[in-house]
Amino acid sequence: MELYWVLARSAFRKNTAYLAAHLATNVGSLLFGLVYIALWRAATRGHAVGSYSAATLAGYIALGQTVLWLTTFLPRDLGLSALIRSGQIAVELIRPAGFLPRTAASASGEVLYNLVFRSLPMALVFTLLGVFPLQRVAGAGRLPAFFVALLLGVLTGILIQYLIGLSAFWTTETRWARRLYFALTMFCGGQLLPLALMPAILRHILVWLPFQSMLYFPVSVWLGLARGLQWWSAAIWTALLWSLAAWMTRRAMRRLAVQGG
Amino acid sequence: MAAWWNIYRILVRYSIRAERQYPWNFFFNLLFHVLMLTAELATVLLILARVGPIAGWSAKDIIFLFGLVTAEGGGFRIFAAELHDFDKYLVHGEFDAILIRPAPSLLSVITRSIDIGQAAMILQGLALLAWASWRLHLMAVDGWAVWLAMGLALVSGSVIWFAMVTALAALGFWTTRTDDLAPVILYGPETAAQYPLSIYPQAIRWLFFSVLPIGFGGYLPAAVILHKMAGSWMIVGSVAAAAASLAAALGLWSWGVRRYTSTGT
Repeated sequence: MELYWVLARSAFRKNTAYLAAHLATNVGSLLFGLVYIALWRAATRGHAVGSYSAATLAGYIALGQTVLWLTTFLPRDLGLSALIRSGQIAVELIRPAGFLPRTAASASGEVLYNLVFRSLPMALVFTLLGVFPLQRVAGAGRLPAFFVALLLGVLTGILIQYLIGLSAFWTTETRWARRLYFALTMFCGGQLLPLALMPAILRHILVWLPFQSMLYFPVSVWLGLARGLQWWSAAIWTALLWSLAAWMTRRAMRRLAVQGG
Repeated sequence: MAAWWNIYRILVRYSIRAERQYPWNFFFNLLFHVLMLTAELATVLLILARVGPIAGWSAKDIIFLFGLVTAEGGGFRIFAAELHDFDKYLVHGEFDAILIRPAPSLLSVITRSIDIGQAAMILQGLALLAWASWRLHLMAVDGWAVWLAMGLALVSGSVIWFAMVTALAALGFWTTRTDDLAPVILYGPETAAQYPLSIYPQAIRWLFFSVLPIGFGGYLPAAVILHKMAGSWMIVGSVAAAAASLAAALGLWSWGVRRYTSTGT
């Protein structure tokens, strides 16, 4: 266990070298949030849409932007394709601890870093601007449930990126897989439009995809709008993706051929 | 001037030939952009279907604006592939090799590769523009002047975005890394420009008509063409803004080049 803690901590520390640059990216992410909030504000003109009041929608967007940094905006394919292309992966695979848990541990260090230096500062700015849905969770006793939901989302995010990274064993390139994944996450995860406000057919399909865990699920738990089947979907996908990742890791190891030495 | 144009043509031809080594790239690019655009457009259309026009802009109006901004996005990206990925010149000291060339440094950089795959984005943008113009009966009211206005808007808009990406790359001479600034200077504004700027708070709107002058590329000409703003002469504002922002970006670039210190190798 200590090994995983050390890996997480060193991933965290490595990032602090780029703190100033990361704060600049935060401003960009805030801008996205403000654009979407303004869009909803103009669209609703203060009226509610479905079960979402105007204030809830603003809160949904603001919280969603901060959650994305924990579930989605992780290092591209967790750095796996670079390891695979350079052959470095061979050294990584002969280490005694499992490759999947080690990679996940170091990714969770990145998540912790993003929590401290991206999500929390952004939440603070959104709070100062009066749009962060703090009062929706205070006293409602939903915070523990939110953290569990968030954990499932983080795991889903890490595992999908891991699988994308592993695909480089077969394709050597992950650029298009990554882009596809981001496009899908933004739409199917409900970055701008909550799933509940989509047409019924889309809503029923999307709630059973893993992308809802990345944003829509934790945010709706925070807002007290989550439904039971969202929990089922998130839990099932986390288990499914973990098994798939473990299986793919074994397949990839058998496939590995390193040229030269 | 004519000599530079010739050099430019030769360099472009070679980078297109190099790109042809990867024929699938164009296809994937097209697929990706179709998907992205569909997702973004579907989202906003779903919102409009629920709440009606946003700030007086109907679905067709917003498709028009989306088309304009998308086509401009492709227009500047074709030429700005290297500027978009300028960090490698600064971090690995590749810019040294650019400086010893006899051609102007910016010209040398942008001709290193031409991202012809972005033509896919232009085509999609133009398709949206054409569809919206047809459904909004723009021709019936203003005749061929609409096409002239759209042409001016597309060119000015692409130049404004090109100026912004040049300025972003030039900031790298001070900061060494630019990819962290891109969300603030490029991606965020690009998303913002897809919606009518009148929905944003005063401060953000002011920003989009000054330091990040994207308002002149999308919102202003679209509002004029769609008769949401009086005075067709306002389209000249876009052309003037394009010229001014290009001049400013080139100024910033040459200032940056003067203070460039190599990382060494």
